[in-house]
Amino acid sequence: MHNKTNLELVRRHVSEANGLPNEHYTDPYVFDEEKNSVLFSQWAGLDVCSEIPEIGDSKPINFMGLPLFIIRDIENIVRVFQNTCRHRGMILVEETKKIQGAIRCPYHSWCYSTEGKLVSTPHVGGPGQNTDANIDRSKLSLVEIRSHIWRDVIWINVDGCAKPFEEVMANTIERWKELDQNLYHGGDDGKFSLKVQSNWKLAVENYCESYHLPWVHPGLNSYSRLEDHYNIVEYGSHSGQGSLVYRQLTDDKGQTFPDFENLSEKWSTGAEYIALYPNVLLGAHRDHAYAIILLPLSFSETIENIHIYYSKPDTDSSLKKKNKDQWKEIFEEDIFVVEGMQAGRLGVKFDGGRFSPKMDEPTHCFHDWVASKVDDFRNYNQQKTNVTE
Amino acid sequence: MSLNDKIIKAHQNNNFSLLVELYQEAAENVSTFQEQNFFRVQAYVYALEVGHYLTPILRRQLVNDGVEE
Repeated sequence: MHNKTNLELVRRHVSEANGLPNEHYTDPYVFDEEKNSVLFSQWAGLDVCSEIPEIGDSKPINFMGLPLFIIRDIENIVRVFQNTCRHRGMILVEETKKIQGAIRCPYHSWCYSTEGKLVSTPHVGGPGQNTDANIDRSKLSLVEIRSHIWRDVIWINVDGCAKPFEEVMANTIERWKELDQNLYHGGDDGKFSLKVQSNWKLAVENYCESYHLPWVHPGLNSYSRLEDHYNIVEYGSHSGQGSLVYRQLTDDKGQTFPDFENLSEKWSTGAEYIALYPNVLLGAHRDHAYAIILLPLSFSETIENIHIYYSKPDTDSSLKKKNKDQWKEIFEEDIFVVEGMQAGRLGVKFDGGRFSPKMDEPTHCFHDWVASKVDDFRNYNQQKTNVTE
Repeated sequence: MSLNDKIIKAHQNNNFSLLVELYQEAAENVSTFQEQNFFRVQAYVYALEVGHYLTPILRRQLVNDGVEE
């Protein structure tokens, strides 16, 4: 029996709380517990719709060990399926590709429509006979994973039990209501990936506070000082930081990206960076936005997939590249921090750390959320055990 | 090249549209109902996969023969 971590200190007020215990960063058992309690039971980011822009486009994705694939079906609806044939459990989509007609299992060729329906079971009743009285196709559709699209991100709720996305994310949706406009992906100049030797939560923690900016991103000091930032803290929901001095990128001729339309004055020089728990980091500005989706590979390894968006299609390519390079440089500056914290978590006498009530509340907000979800999961399992006994 | 060799080559090249045609041809060159349906099923499956224009016709044939839903 594995000992459960003590989360009581995490749930205290930020002024007297400790951070999550080390095991939440170093223990495969806790990683697995968080998989079920924090990622599969909530609305987690999986990928973006722009990765499958055309009807029939499909892409396999391994999410915390769960084989999935995303597909844009024949009706132009983005769907997420378990990437497992209902016959013998074979992986169906092994590489990113366009499904022209049906999804054919490479093993015995059971065929599924892009909407997940089982449409043919060749030779299932013997050679040349595609039917069998015991094979009810209507009950053998692909297993679809509950999904929702917002800001081009494909959010999934694996266990299917979370409240509706719009309800869970209501605070953020309301906060960024005026930004709810068409987003145009920057294409190859608008995406990149980073692989970090770090627990996924450390990327969230580092993202949602501005305390580290003067030291880790000294290049920002000349125009974006620490005092130009504010905390965004919504306990039970999300946290992040805002800047009051966003400066638009310009090209050699002084041109900028076109703005999103009808934004309030706040966005003239404002920018916001929100960690939408559990694993999506969003950034918003007057002229571009981005989404970072964290895909945990293990308790100490994470992929960060970054996608940048603009207000208009066909935005200037060289300026997009400049913007991508700028963000890449900033995010790469953070790698030594998240990897350093991961290494530091092997310090067995580290107690989870103390928070600055003034500067670290966004981080505590996230720890408190993780702890609450793990607590809920443990309580639910305990109740199930009690009923069984 | 024999029909069998053509089919093997088309499989090696993942040329599914060609397989639709070749398996139909194979279906016409066999004598029993079961053999015929075997090859028609093969043609139908690859037609399904590539969204071949003959898919509905192949399916109708199989349904009429009582081997497809």
